[in-house]
Amino acid sequence: MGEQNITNLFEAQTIYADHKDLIHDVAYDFYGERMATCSSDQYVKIWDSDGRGGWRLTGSWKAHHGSVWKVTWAHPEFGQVIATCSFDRTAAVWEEVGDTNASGSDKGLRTWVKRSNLVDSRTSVTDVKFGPKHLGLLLVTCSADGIIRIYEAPDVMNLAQWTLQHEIPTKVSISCLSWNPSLSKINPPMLAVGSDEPNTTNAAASVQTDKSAACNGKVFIYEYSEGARRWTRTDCLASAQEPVNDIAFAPNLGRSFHLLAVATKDVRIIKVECVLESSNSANGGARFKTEVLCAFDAHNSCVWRVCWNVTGTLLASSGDDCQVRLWKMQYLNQWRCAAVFKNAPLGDSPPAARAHTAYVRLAAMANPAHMPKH
Amino acid sequence: MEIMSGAKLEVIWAPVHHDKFIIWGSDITLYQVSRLKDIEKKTAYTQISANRGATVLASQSANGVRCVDVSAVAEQPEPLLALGHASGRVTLTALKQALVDPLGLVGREFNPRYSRLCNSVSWSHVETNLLAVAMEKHRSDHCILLWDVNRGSTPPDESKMSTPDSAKPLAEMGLSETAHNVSWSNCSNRTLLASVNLKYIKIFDLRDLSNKGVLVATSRYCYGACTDPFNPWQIASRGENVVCVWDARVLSRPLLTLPQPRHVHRIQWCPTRRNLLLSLGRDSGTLRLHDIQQQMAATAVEAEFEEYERGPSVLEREVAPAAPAPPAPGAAPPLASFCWHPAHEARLLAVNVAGGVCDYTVCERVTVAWGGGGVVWSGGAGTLRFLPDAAQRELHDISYVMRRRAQTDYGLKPDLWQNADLADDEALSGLWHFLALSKSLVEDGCIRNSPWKHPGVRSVLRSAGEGGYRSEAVPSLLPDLPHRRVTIYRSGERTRALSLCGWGWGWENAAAGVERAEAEGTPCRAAALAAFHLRLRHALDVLARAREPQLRVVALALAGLSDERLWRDALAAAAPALPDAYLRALLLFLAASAPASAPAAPAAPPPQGPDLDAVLAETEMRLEDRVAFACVYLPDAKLHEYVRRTTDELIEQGDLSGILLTGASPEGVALLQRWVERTGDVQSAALVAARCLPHELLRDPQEPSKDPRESYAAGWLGAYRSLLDAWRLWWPRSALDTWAAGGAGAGAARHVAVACSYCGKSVAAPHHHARARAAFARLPPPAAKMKQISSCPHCRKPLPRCGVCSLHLGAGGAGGGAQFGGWFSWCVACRHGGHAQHLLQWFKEHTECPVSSCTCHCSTLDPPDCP
Repeated sequence: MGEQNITNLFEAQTIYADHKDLIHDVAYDFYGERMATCSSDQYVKIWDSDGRGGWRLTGSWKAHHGSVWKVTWAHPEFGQVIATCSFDRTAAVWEEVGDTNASGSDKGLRTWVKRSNLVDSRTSVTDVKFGPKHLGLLLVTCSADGIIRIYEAPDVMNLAQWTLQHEIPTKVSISCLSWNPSLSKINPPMLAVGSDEPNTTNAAASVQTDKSAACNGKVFIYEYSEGARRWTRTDCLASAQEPVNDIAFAPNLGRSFHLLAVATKDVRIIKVECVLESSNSANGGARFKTEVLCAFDAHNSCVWRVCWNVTGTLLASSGDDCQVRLWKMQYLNQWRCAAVFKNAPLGDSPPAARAHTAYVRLAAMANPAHMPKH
Repeated sequence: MEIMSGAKLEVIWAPVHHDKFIIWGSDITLYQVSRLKDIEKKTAYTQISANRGATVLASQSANGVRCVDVSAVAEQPEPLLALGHASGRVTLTALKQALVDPLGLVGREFNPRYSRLCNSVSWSHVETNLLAVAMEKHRSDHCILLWDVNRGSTPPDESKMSTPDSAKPLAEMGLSETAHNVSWSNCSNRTLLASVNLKYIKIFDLRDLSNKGVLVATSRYCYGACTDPFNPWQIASRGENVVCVWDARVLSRPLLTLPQPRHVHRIQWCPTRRNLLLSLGRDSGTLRLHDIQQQMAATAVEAEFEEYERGPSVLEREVAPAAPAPPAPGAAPPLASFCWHPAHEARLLAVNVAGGVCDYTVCERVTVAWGGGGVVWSGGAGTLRFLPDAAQRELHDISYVMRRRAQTDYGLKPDLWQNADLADDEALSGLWHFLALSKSLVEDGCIRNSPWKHPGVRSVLRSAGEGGYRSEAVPSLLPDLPHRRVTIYRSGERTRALSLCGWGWGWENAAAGVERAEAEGTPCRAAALAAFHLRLRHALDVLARAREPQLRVVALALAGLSDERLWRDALAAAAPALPDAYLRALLLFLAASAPASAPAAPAAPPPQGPDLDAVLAETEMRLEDRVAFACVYLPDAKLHEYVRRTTDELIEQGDLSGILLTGASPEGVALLQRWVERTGDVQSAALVAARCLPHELLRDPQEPSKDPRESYAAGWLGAYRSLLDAWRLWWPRSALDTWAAGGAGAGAARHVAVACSYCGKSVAAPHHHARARAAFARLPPPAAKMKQISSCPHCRKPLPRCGVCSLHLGAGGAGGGAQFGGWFSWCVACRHGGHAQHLLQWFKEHTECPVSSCTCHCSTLDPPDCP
């Protein structure tokens, strides 16, 4: 098969991130030259490209008191700023302030300062994203109890001050969110959120009771209405019925519609088209026309993450089958798997040191810095 | 209740011998795992995963055996097993007899004082000579015995006359209690966990055997207690359909109580990943992973504790290890047991009730990100896998193509046609050539009164007023075939349209095109063009010169052109079989030309229409040839209909050749929009928009308008600018802005001007009319005009001073004045600034702002430059 051939062409290189636990998120900055990783070991690490395909660790610090779920970069116009969210019920905004004077093992690491700690959530904060640049310095978080919070830094120079502008209750557990990156002023600010609420009869019932228009979908679209000065749910995608793990709007690239990738039981690409005001009445008042362009269950299991390339013409997805797949747009609305990467089963070739370290006296590891690398 | 039903099956990895495991049911069998390709052909094996198989090394009956554990004695060449028997006796055995038995442990036996059921044995993995045994209750004996296998052992032959001295266990615990199971905390502090008397978890500290410390937790869910290998204080236990997690330091209540859908009958901590607990429910086909979130540290205040419980403090998911070859189709049999591999990352072995074994690696959830550098995803074990962007080249993705084109200044060359070669794509090349052609035609005055800078055929045909022109029908004879004739139509509009198509009017212009087509190696097209210009002789010559012999045969057929019915029928039959669309069109055209002898009826030649339609239906011909053909031979109404239909089709398909019809007009915008949506090539669309579209179409509309086409071009420009920014291609970006603003006319472009902080008016060139100048974000007007001024020309208030030299800005602090060095520049963060040259020098040596008492790290606000 063609896809096999292509897979063989690619050689993925390995970066030893040295996180002590599962890496939950990796985020590139705007230029794709810096990378932030976060992990269950409560650390956040910053990596800089050396321009030749290699990555150098330039920052590493313990950011939270719980697993760090997501990390995201602000537009470089606002400086070198990232936001993280964690199981410890907080989200934090960090800014790089230059080189440290530290010597020894920390030499070369740059200092990141916590500018703000957003503690409004009562439950685990599951996702955090900076808003599109043209809206100012906005930050949106969502939490497991289903509240979306939109913060704004009124003074972009003062990252310590964030005002909670909007609090949107959704009544279902929210796992992920994505801003619509469209630059066009025609589209009002738009957010898509996905819920990982399991499909129990209970949950379905509760959703139905609080909304007259029953919708069992797990993906909601919120839009900001300039007139009402509030965010309102304008659509609920009925095509996504299973718990959603990740959601991503494609870079708009001047398209007249939006592409939304949804990671659920399968990889879905949904075309969201605004219905013009004039034809609104004919359409039963629906704000959007949605169409599922494709749904691939090639992962044979739960899909965990989806991610677009810079033009929105390639989609990467990862699933519980340990594979990363690339999907390529073939012709208008047609997508095909272009490559598959399987994480090499590490059982085959464990690092030689591992076999012997399994029985070292673990008491020597009281200091986590002494942990054997794995 | 802990006794398993019927067929009990257990699986245990050997802790030291990483490729061996035992399965223990009615027999105890030792297996060795190897790759399928390493297994010798004739050996019988069980396939346990896609590329591994297990071969039986040894087997023995497990009659009377109640519990088994594999020792971690490293010196032992083969796995050493401790078997707990129904009588309470514990024997050491190696299923496969090794040649050497360095420690002489094989065959040793340990007997309790009073015989009763042995419930559990456990080897310590730290002090590998220690063996703990859990037994049923006896009123005058202890239920947990600790043996030192090196010391207190009895060789089998002497077991009958066991000396009381040697048979003494190292320690005894739990007088007249029942121990259901024991397990070592595999940390050096010699801690033993036991589930006792149906309701206690007891933790024994055995460092000082004369003074044993005991911690007790009370719970119904006390079975299977075991400690997390990474956090010795974290303990898991099970009972009924609940899994509990305890903190050994706070045993008053469980940290977590996790109800499960089924009765849980086995739990185990993952030895290679922190905080990962695996449980198996009875009759379940799946294993459940509990990813314990460590958030509630011991400092959690009691009051907050309630709130913590609201959030998910554990992430649970299920995995279904399936044996590679299910014994029977249909539902896989439920799993009987599992065991983590002691060293390999997240690898486990599961065995189902039918005896099928599955070697399974639990996948961590893989996160994936895509950025300028490439794709990166987490590869397990704290690593990242990074795939550089070269992959996108292999995939021929548009993002890679666009970036490469942007680096070559694609679309920014001063002459439009120069961009065609850079595109390296036929459709785009045609687009740029057409734009260059239409521009030159407009400039030469061939096309006048066009509303667009780059008119297309449709607007040219229309421009004299909607349908307001009349074409003149001219019956013409074919010069080489005087007995045939066709009707051609002429008008000024058609002539201009033909120029756009590259045909020109008359044979003088067309002959060059025919020669070019022949030189390009397309003799069929050359011949067809000649024939469409009624130069049949020329067409025959072209075909006769052709390299391919079959073309000469076609020439032969053409030469025989006649009105004979036989010839016509043969032609009609042969035409569809011809390989080239131009040849087919050529034959169809000749067949359609009416014989000159037919009664002259120029007004309505009935057969002509459909036949010419057949020529136009040859869509493999280039669009310009088809359109030009239509412009010559179709009457007005039909021509309009044809052009309209073709335009709509091409717009719908997003076919760039349609730009010939639409030109750079709102229709062209719709066409480019389809192209963008089809291919993602926003670059070409944005560049064409910046260079060729009238400025009204570039504006970003503030209000949603009726016609969405008006907002498209602004969207392309915005998207492409953002792409160029992300690629750090500043020069193409500024050149794009220059082009986009160049067509805007004075004042319409976005300017950045320095305003006086007192009066708010621009300090630059106040009394001249605004110049059409590109907007450079940080580079306000050159200081040339302000060389002499140091105050605002409007209000006479002084301009701000340079932070470095303390001179007023505009005072020409840097030598040369008009040069870049004298320009205003400032930090977007602290708003301090100065002469650009001074600031550059300053930040070579400093990171802080030059203004004293300002601690802004202006230069580090930019990401570090890559080396």
